[in-house]
Amino acid sequence: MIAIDIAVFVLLGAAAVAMRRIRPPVVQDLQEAFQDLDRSITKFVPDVPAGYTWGEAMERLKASGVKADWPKMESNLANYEAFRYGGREMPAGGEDEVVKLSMKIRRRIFGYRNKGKGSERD
Amino acid sequence: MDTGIREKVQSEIRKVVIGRDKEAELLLVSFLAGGHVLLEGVPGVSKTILAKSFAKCMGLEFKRIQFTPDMLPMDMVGGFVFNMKERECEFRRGPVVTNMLLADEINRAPPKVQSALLEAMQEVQVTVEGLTQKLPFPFMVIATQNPQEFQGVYPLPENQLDRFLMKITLPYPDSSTESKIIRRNLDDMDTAQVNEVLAAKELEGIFRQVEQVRVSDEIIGYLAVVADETRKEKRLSLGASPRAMVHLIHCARANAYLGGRDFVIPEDIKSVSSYVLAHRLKLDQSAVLTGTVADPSQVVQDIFTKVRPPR
Repeated sequence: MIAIDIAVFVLLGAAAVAMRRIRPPVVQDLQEAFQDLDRSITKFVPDVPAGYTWGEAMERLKASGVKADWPKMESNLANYEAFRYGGREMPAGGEDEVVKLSMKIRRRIFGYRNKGKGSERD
Repeated sequence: MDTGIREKVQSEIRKVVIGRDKEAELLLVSFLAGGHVLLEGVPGVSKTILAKSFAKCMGLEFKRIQFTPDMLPMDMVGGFVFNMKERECEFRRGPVVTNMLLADEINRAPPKVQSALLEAMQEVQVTVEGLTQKLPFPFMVIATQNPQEFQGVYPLPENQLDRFLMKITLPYPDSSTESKIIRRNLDDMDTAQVNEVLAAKELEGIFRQVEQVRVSDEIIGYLAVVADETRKEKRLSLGASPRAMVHLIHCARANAYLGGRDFVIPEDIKSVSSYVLAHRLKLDQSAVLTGTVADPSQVVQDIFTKVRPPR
């Protein structure tokens, strides 16, 4: 009985952790959204090298079939890069799409783990 | 900012050279970065025609020197000849005084000639018996060499290789490209078909815009880490020089400009890194003998895979 209780609590704990991990993060701006996307890619996309660039990551995600509004993502990335490397002002908006992609990456990996390979959870 | 130059150049060069879009782009990047290029490949892989077509696209004065082992520096930079009519010595310019110079088979020239050319590349001027002559702006050398030749050649030493902004290796084309080349050569293949993409007067403005492309401090920090990694790398006995990193940033600026941006992103650096760095690095002989590494570009790629860019 005690063993079953422990097992149930462990499962509930694991589910809670998993839910926490897939809960959308609260981001203030595009920079925070891209930082979160960076964490998702580094942590959840297999075999991504430390030296990846945003362009390479986008290509990789597209090729692996992650669904997103890619033209919008590319425009968000261009705005972010203009801010990050070009010294422009922080662009307003666009973070929702980036967070959505970040969440898709996390859920997709959970989908792989839970349902086996090839499952896309959109 | 004009972003159509790359596509225009590639499309013009495609009229005579098939399957060399990437190489055409790299030539353009080097040209806008104000550097010189070493094209390496076995005979018949379109090195010379690529260089000629590129020069034609840029609409600049173009000259070609076919290097041979019996050449003298004077054959290239020019010299004083006695004018019988005027009864005085006058300076006759050599073929190096041009905008775009094709130095064909540079490794067949003796070291004195190579060093005279490299001085012209570095200083953008030639000095003959105390008379210094500035070379015209812009000045670009496209040198070619055949890696398979071992007899009657004078391989360029490391310090001279370091003067070249990029080394572009031209491999054999794949079979579908080769079929197209064979078919195309049944018809006429002439650089006369290539049209000018840029007018000479536009160039100054373009070079100015490339120089104004912003490089953030973080990008410079990223490059410094990469340079340090090449020097710490066990598979290399000679890492990247500070000049190599300066050249890399010039190329990244040109790349950014061609991408329609006025700032450099890590991708601008990564995409040209092998072409800019690999020929300056020297593999450690023990690593070569143990089969750990055979090509410096592999080491460059490994380093860029490992070093985290600013994101």
